Amino acid sequence: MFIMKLLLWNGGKIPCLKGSFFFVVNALYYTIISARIRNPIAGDNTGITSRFQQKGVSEMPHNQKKSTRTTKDPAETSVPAPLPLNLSLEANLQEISRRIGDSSDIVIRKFNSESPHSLSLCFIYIDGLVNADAVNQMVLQPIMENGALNGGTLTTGAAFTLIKDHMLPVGGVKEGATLEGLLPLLFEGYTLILFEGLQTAVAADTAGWEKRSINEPTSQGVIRGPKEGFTESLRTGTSMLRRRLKTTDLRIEEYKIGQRTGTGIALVYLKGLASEQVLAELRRRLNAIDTDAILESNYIEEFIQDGGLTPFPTIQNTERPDAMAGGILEGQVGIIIDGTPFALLAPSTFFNFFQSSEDYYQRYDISSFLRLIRYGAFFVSMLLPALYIAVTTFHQEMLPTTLLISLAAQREGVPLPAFAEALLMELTFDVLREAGVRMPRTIGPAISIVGALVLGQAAVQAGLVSAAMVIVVSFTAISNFVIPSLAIANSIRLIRFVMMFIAASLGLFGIMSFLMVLLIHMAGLRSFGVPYLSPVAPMIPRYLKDIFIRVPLWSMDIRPKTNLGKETRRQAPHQKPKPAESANGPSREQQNPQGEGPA
Amino acid sequence: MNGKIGTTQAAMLIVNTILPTATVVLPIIISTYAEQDAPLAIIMSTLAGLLIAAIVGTVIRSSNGAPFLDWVGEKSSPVVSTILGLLMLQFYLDTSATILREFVNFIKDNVLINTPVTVLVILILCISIYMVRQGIEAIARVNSLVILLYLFFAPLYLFGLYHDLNVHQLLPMFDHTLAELTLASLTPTAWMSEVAVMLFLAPYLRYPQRARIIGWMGLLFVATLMMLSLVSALMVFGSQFIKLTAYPGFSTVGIVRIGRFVEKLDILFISYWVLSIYLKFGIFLFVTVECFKQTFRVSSSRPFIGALGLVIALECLFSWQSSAELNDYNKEGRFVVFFLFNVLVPLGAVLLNRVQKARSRRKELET
Repeated sequence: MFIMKLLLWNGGKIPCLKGSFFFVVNALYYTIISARIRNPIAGDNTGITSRFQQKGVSEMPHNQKKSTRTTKDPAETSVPAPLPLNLSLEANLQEISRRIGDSSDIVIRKFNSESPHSLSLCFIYIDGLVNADAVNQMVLQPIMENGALNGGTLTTGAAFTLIKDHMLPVGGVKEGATLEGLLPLLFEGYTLILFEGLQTAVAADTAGWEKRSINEPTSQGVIRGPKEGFTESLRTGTSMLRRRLKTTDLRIEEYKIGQRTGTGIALVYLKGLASEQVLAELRRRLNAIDTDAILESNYIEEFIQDGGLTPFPTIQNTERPDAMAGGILEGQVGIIIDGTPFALLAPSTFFNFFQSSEDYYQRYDISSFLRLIRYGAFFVSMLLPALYIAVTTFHQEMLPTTLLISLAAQREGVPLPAFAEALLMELTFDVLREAGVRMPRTIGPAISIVGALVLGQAAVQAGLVSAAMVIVVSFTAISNFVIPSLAIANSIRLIRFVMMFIAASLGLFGIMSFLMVLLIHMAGLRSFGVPYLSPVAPMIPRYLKDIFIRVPLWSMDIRPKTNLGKETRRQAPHQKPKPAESANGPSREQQNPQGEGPA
Repeated sequence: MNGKIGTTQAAMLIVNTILPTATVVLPIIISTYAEQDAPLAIIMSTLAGLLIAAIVGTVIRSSNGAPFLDWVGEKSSPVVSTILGLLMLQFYLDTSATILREFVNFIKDNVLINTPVTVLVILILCISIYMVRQGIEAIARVNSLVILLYLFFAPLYLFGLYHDLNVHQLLPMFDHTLAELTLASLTPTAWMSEVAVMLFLAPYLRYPQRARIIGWMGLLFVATLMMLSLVSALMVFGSQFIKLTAYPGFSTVGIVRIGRFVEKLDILFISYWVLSIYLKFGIFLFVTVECFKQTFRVSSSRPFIGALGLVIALECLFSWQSSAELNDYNKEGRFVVFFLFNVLVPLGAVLLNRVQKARSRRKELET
């Protein structure tokens, strides 16, 4: 009110510097008032200017602000203190039974030697997590049939050493002295060997369970290129990368995240190519995850991605080991999660989501064309329904007369406004799409017929929607599937609805306003410190060779650096194919006497 | 997040600091005085602008990118810098309010005729506040992308007008007196002087020593585009018709056509202009906030962006209700105010720096 009074008192009298001084007064008044209202310190009524001088009031990005973490519920997240093994085998078995219960898949096999000074052992493993043949032939049989052990001529300590060092023909043999160290191994498929009278146990790696075989990726298929995708097995995933990256620089760091799931997570990168800053940040964020379950890569993605509330993905996901190898070769860091075929790649910029591994498996000209098509499809998918609404509602003058007459004729009998019509059709399509994901494959064609006939033809004939709207929605839907990354395609699905609403309210001006918001949001977004719109904004022209188009491979000498990474050479320069030297023409040495040819 | 911006990015910021409102407001003012000699007025104002950019660049070079008011405070006294800061804050609040009003008036006149002005002001302000909160680095990045779109719009504009361009509309040349040309170039000079926003962008320049180059690059780009817009409008409509239209640039765009299919593209160009004016208002709001921050020595300006935006919105809504009054101000009042704050203030800062240096040299000699 105070400001309003000042304004009214001042308004319209001084043409040039009108109200200027009063606005400064108003600004000060308002800021001081608001600062006092917002004062977070109870009872602190010091002036705003004095508080400005206080240290520690600095601008911080949202994602770096210190959060006030709530106190953990001890009942839910308490971790028992490490319990050393008991000398008594029976006591140890009782404690294990108490901890893991009497589950039917736990196998406990006891072994006692024949001599009076008996050696008493116990084998524990989980049926289904171990390879039964391996357990029988490499653990049980050698130990149970060994004369020295059976005869009781060895002390327990000597038997322990003999078993651990000489009798287990398996790769992974570990020893543990606490249940906290041994039980996780049991759940990973190890066979535990506990000894009477010893506080140390042996664990032999006998892991082996049913796995899905390597299949073609379901969401990222290609016509030309490798046909194998990741499986749910972490080790299979890392092995697929090892097969593609036969270099000593490949590093695989493993983490266990999830108090109840203990999910294995592997950080895969090439030492020297991946930015140390990105790696440090990734490690920090992974270590900071405090949750009880990680069941899929999205769990990790949501915990570690930048810009928590952004609709845009800042981490790529892929089913393709070749795509991941390609990303790692570009300096990205791969994250493979046990239990899902979808692995993650970070940092990822906006333009990464429009690159497909097939771009590099076919000629550069068609790849470039397809990539431009994808960018076009992105804009069509996001804007087409909104533009249709804006043009038919606010800006009819934009349309050529013949088209305008045709559209008007189609819409004549439609009872709904363009926005309601578009919303109805878009929601219907999303319902069909969701049904398509869930329904059994045998009913698929039936749903397609119902969708096409009922929603397409019948809705138009019934006068519920116009034929033009069906075309718009169909083309939008098809365009959405052109985008190779499902993550960004899903982002657009949501943004499209907001865009449609704004177009219906404010026309093209609204669309442009919202586009500005999106652009500014994306320009401020980072993926692990890398600007989301790089290398376009900020513009680095020499890194644009693989952004909107893909230039021939021999022309991509330099591996683009991110803001945090290093610019490195990908290959020797000047590898453009040239015709064989003719008999009359000058030789390459004559053309280039300094010897600056290809390496 | 306010990171550093590169030289080209900063130059492009200068382009959108001046161009969006210049294309709307200036053609009619210049044509009123200079008619078909309007291009000469653009050249004169560009020369004046380059001089102002040199002065502003000299200040930034001398301060090596330090916050302007802090530097003035060091060279003179904190009282002087605070008073200057208050006056400049008032100037930037007024300027931002007029930009917002020009934006809203244009949308109200051409696009959303029935939408209340208050709704438009609130919407634009909210988006601009969000832009400023994202920081100058994000604004500069988006600005570069928007400028890149000229690669699409400029050829479309030229090809679309090709059949309507009549070079005879530019004749006779040199038909106006120097006094008329000077009058015509005063208002464009006021616009060109907006290059002085660099004083407050200086702390965010990666290479503050290149401030002059930044200013010159930006102004030459602006002059080229202004020339393109004005000359094409003159060649299409002639000088008499331009005087009668409110927005000659967009009237020209209205007749762009390619074949019989692509026509009536004015809304497309208006949409592009909307992106540019958002950036212009965003830059001025940022500079206003920066001026406030330096004047009151606030370490974090984020809580005050909304408050300053509210003040601007109120001034826009209640002080500039009349379009005629705003046009009068643009035509007659703006030059004086802009000359004072965009030319005399940096010039004063340069002189102050020289005097300080001379005094310190004299002291050295005496000791």
